Amino acid sequence: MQVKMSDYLAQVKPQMKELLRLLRQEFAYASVLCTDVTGTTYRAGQRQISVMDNRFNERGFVVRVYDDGSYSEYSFNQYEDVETLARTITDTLKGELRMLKELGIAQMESPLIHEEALERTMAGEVGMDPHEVSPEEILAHLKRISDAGAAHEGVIEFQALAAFTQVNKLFLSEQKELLQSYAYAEGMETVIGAGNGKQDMAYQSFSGLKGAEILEEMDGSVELAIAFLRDKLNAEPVKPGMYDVITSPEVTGLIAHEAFGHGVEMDMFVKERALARDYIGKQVASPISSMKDGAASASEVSSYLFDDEGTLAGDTTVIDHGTLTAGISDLLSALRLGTKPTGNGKRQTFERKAYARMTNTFFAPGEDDLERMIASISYGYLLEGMDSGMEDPKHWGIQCAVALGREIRDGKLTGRTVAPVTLTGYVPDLLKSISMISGDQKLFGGGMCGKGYKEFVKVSDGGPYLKCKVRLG
Amino acid sequence: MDRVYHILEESGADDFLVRETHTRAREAFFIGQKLDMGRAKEVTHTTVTVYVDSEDGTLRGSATKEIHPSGTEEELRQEVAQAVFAAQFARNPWYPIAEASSFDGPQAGNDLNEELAKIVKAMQAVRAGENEKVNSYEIFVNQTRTHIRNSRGVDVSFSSVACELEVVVNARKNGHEIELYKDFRFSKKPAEEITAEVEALFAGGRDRLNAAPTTQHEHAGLILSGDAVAEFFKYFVAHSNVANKYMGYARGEVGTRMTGGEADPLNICLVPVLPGSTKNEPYDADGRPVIERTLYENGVLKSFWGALQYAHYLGVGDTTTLNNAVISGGSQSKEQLYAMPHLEVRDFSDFLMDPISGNFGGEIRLGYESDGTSCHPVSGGSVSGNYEQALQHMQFSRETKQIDNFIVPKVVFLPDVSVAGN
Repeated sequence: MQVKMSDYLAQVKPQMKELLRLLRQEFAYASVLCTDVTGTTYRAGQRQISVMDNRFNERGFVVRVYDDGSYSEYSFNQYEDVETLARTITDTLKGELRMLKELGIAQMESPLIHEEALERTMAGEVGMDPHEVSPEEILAHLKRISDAGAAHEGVIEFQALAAFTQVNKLFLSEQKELLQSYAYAEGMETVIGAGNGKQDMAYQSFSGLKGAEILEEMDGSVELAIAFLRDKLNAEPVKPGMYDVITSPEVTGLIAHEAFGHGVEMDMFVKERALARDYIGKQVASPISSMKDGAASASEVSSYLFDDEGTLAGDTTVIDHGTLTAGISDLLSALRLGTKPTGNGKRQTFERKAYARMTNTFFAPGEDDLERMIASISYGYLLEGMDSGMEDPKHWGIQCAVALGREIRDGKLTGRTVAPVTLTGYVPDLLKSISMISGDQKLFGGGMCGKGYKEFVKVSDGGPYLKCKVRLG
Repeated sequence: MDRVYHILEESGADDFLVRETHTRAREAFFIGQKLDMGRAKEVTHTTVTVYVDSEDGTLRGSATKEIHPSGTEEELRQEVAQAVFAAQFARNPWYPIAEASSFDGPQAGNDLNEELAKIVKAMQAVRAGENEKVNSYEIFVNQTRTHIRNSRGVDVSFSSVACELEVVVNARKNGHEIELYKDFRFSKKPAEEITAEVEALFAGGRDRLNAAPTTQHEHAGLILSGDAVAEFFKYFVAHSNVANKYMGYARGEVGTRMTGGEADPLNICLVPVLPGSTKNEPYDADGRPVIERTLYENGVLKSFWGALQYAHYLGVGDTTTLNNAVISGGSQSKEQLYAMPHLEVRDFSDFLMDPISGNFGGEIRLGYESDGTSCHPVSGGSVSGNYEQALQHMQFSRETKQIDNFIVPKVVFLPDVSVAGN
């Protein structure tokens, strides 16, 4: 069914148009992004049940203006009348700029945005509208999942979570009028347990441009979460060293994200913070590997019609058969670099600045299968489950915290496991070592991505199984 | 606030809490020392929690929801009604909400442009060497007025200030450039300190350019000396939290020792106010006053901290929230700890601490290998350890330092961790 458009955005549109008209009397460019993101998170466990707003809920506005060679922004979520608001925005932004000029601060010059006239609307689809399912039914479903998980020996707590989000955004400028409404759902089964003298946690995640149908999807994964926990509890520490490994789609996604996801965010090119800027057109990975990013590249939690700067969604081939071909860009970075924006300008909320951010990032599938890949390894690990990662675009280091490694000896899984596993290395070494790629592919949108230690946004990432060589510790 | 409070009174909820924050902010983004973008914001957020009890009074359901002040009266009533409806299904054992208190703290009233200018000037004063530069920085100055009311008579208002300065610096050698990253958070910090701390990053950058690959060692002595020190001690904070205890994975037991006999005495105290901290609010999210509390004394857990709901379940009702934590120094000086053979990690890519499994570690961005007398910089590889072992023998320096809302020993020594390297 089609997602219903936001009444609120429809209601404020005429006032925001009037605000832009008033601001255009003072500034050479003015745009406004209006957001109305709603959603509810339901959680049921053995010890607690809760209902609360989603983390990414927001309702507000961010105005961008161009004055004296550079851009300024003003975020707000309340106003009495647009005339007063226009005066407040003008006085505040000009006042801040004046103060900085009085300090003798030089400005980065930015080209003025030139837009083509564009009017577009998009309404997403979901299977089952979560508003049509009562909180009682959702919580009861989650409690049944929790009960099934908690019945296993050694389980301390089993929590089942479902979050339903509806994103409504309106972008207005002199030339553009863009409106989108889409919905996504996330599910998470988290189990904490003890055994073998240890305590640990495991999880299964679910996501997509879906509605309440995600609950049915979660039903079949309780045993997987329990088995993963048991494998972690029985795991031994990994002996540090270089290994042949196979990365599961989840770990493949983490590598894509940390290696050449953050590494090709083009606001980092402007700041000369990314080595990738000097490697466009050069080989950075194995010739059998290709990587993509784009809101239009896949259907997952970061698939949209337009980004938070009013640029239409892109489909960027970042690595084409081992060659670095393009970066992903926000609007202002593209203006400075003389490139085309790729629809990757995203904000944590209307209260934050837009940066070049990932959307759906993944390695393209290959031609091998997992069985043949395992059979090709004499001693190594199949890496499964991701915990977190950290980028280093300037030095091309990579850190991935992986949940579990399954030992492979003489082409077979031995049943032995290692955990925790920290995967580190030099990005080109890692990517050039990719020697086999499976033909299947999966994306995961249950997590979020920060830039440094802040600016969290929804992303998805994934890919096929990859065989490569990495350092584990 | 009054409009929402009135709607809540008529909503049929057995109890309710409403929290309103009004934030004004100035932000400035720099590339090198040039202004890239100026930003400002003024936002109000009103969040309500409604509580609905079972007929026999043994269970309490709750739902939390942001109410948008821009909505009409009818929209607000509808949103509150939806929350009340959902709350009746999210039932947990009954618990109380905060009892009546009243407070009206002074308005902060700072000139935000002036506050921003102070930090800008501090950054503009940074002196870079021939092979070093400030790459970029972002400044955020936030001033927030918080007003909390509940149905039991809590009515408290207070102001707070939170600044953030994210800095990236570069160092270059023979055409090769690296970067170092630092995220400062504070409510107040002298300009000279900001300038000096950023300039100190350059020395780390120079060392990283001269760094050798880290040596592999399965039983290394590890010294933590950067921001990871605060993260390391958050393990003990997590294991004394009532929510974690109620969920079944916190190890803390009042009167029981958490650390081994050979470890330095662990003393952690929670304090409501710490000069310069971004966490000095006098009341917590439930509307309870934040008070001073000893968490650990000589490694023994003295009391839990955390939300009223879980404190009630555990029968430890007088918990407080964590604004600021002071971890006392250990038995030896920094120099004594550095005299032992060790790998000092000053900068991790991201130091990870998992309170559930007790695992910790991360990739080494900048470290120093030392035999106790001489040392050289290293980079790459990773460190991994577990608190089970660390608790037995961990040692801290006598000297302490402040990292936002934590005062921690300047360095921590762990005698047996695994290092993946060359």
